[in-house]
Amino acid sequence: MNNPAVVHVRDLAAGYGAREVFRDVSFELHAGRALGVLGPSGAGKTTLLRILVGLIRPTAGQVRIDGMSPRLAVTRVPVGYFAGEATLPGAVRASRWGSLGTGAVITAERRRIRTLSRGTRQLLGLRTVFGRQSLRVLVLDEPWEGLDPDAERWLSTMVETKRDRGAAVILSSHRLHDLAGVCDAYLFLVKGRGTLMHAQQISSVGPVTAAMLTRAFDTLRGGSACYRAAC
Amino acid sequence: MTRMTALAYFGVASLHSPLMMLGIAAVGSVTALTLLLDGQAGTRAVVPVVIVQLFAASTGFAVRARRGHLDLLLTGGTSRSRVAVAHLVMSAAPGLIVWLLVGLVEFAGRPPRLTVWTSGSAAAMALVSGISWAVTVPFPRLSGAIGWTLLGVTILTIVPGAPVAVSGGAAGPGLTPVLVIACPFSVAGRSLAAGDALGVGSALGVAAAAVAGALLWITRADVALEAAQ
Repeated sequence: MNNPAVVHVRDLAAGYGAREVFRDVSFELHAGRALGVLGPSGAGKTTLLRILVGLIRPTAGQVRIDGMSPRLAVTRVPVGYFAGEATLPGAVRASRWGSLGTGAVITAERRRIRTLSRGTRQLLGLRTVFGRQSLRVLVLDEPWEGLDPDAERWLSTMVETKRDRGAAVILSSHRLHDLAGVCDAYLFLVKGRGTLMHAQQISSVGPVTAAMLTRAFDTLRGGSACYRAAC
Repeated sequence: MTRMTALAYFGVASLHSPLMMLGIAAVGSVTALTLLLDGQAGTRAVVPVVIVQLFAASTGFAVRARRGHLDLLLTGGTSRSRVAVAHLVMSAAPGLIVWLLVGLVEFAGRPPRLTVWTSGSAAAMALVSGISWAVTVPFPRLSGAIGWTLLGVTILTIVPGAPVAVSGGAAGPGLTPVLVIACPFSVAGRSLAAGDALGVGSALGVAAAAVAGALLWITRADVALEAAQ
């Protein structure tokens, strides 16, 4: 890979007060690549993603996006971030919220967000983020939550489109089948540690399947270090 | 790249509830009507505008941010400092607009003495807008206004002579900075004199410091999701 990494994370650690969430997280992500962040509930997936977009500062380590700190990068580089439908303000009308991405109308739905179904809210949030042009970094936290099969397919297509157009994509999920085959590398957050595995390390032939991810995940939970990969 | 402005964002995701906006409009209308019907209404007409601004400017930042409501804004290309200033402006704007409109109504009625557009009223509006907004930034909506009200009542109760001083009985020199902060309504409607400089000036200094501290807090604060902590 000749081009420099868009996202560079080194020896990252995070915590809330005295409670450590994770440490030793390192990875690089290049333009046009996708990283899946996997881990059980409470492993720190949301925390890691919020650090990447500058909403939280890590307790140790370094994050660089195009060579800048995340907080500076989000003001200079087009970054898309969505943490799920629960983060949408319920009192706002859907059509007005949708226009925040580009100013263009993405939905004619006039109802307030809180009155929409969960899947519709999730879709609204995703479409608002995807509406932003020329994304350099796309960070989605559990994006498949609440979506129906049609919307799931739409989301996978949109993620691939953004990635193929050069965005560095980071996706998180606690459901392994969501991320199977979608990503070029996988970061497992298990037992407070981050372990990076490239898709080729998990599956030497063909795409990564949910069963392969499950095996890797179980091995890491068992404490084996044999899947650890150099960053 | 399309950058959303913080003002546009808060225009869509309003910092004020519909009920609060209704309250502000109602108080403004009643005040304007009072001034039109009774040219001598004076100070007692403008105080409700100051009181409603105390609560209206108390919008809060941290709780909204921790729920993720500001994620799109905070990661959407706008610097934190601009977000902070826009939050202050949009929090204070409805009350200030009503104050200006009520003043316009009074001015149009050509009263013998202006009470809305006076230096004292301007100071009172600046105090309630600034301190109420700043104190509430790390807390839930209205908490700063409620806390300030309780503090003000307590101070007026325990400081000897305080009610007389704030009611104008001991005009000017009787107003200490503590009393002005405890009861900013005491200067509403008045034209400030040289004797008010220490009390009102110090109170405005405290308000400026509080606003500066809150702006800095927003630019530096970590925004963890409630559910992720």
